[in-house]
Amino acid sequence: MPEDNSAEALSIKEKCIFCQIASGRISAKTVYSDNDVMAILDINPANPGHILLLTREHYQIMPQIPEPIIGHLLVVAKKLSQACLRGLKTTGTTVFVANGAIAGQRAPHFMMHIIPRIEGDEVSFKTAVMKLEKADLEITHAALKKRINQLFGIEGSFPERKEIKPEEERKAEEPKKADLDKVTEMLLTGKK
Amino acid sequence: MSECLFCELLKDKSRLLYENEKAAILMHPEPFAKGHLLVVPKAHIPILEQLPDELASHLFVLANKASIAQFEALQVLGTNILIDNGLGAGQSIAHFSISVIPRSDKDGMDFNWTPKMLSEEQMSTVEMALKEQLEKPEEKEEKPKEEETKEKKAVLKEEKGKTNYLLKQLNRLT
Repeated sequence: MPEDNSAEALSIKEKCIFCQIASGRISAKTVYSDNDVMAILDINPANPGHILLLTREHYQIMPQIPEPIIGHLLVVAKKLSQACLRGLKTTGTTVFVANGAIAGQRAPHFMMHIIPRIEGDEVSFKTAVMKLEKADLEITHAALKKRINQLFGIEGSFPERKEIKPEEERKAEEPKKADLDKVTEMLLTGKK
Repeated sequence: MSECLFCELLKDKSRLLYENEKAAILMHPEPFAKGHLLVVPKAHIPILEQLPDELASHLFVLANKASIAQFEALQVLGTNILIDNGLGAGQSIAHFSISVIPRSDKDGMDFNWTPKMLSEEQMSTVEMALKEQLEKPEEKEEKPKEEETKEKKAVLKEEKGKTNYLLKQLNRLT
């Protein structure tokens, strides 16, 4: 991976506690490490054995991470989860990612949480099921379906648009880019 | 396996957003928020530990795309990725899945936890237990090595028993 060594990038890494952990300047209880990711014990665990899986490179949120590393993350999380089940006598694990302060992300460095779980522990990732109007559901379904298929480069799955449209027309239909700058800025300022 | 809700949803296709030969992205049947998505393998695989590495990797790439689509198409400012893996984690359907949840201000969801206070000794014990598991050579389940000592075999058997116990628990749900 090409390292970004511009002055600005270096200053961000100086300030980021997880970059300092990745470079070994701050010590942590490391349980797994390779070229792209490392896993440390959370010092404020939801349950004993709560693991943080970090990218070595400074990414703030998941959409910024290159695809090969995305895939690698769940493969490593699988090994970590297995170690929790076997080594800590737990009956489950919660794998959790928060992207953005609104989603509960606390530090501006991407991480996955692997939390060992047992029935009746005081940790909960359940919440009320939302009742949605059928029409509302259909609009959301259509909007997400369209965007996901565009992300996979599939245009033909929409019956109403069989012919290939001219480039300008397709560009005009492109949805607005997500305001990822705003998401990451909110993480830095801690403002919701 | 016809009793499995996710296997049924995969056949029914009305909740489908994307599919390929290995996996699919669906609208969640019991959403926490508008646009809550589900990434599932097509094969009826109950827990994370049973996914082949290649499939695990593919599913997380799909989950990331689902999250990006939520940021862009729903203009939300946050997403959560959540896997309830095993009964202890509240998994209620014995088919592995990844939840991808769009988040907005004051949406009523709270995934925070109260940190547990552990002593330095407790932290070290946990660290040792995890490292012991992680530093073991990879298990090749199909081809056990001939030269494996009896002692090692006994340990493996015990571990397999544990995974089987988890599976049995989950299978009772279906």
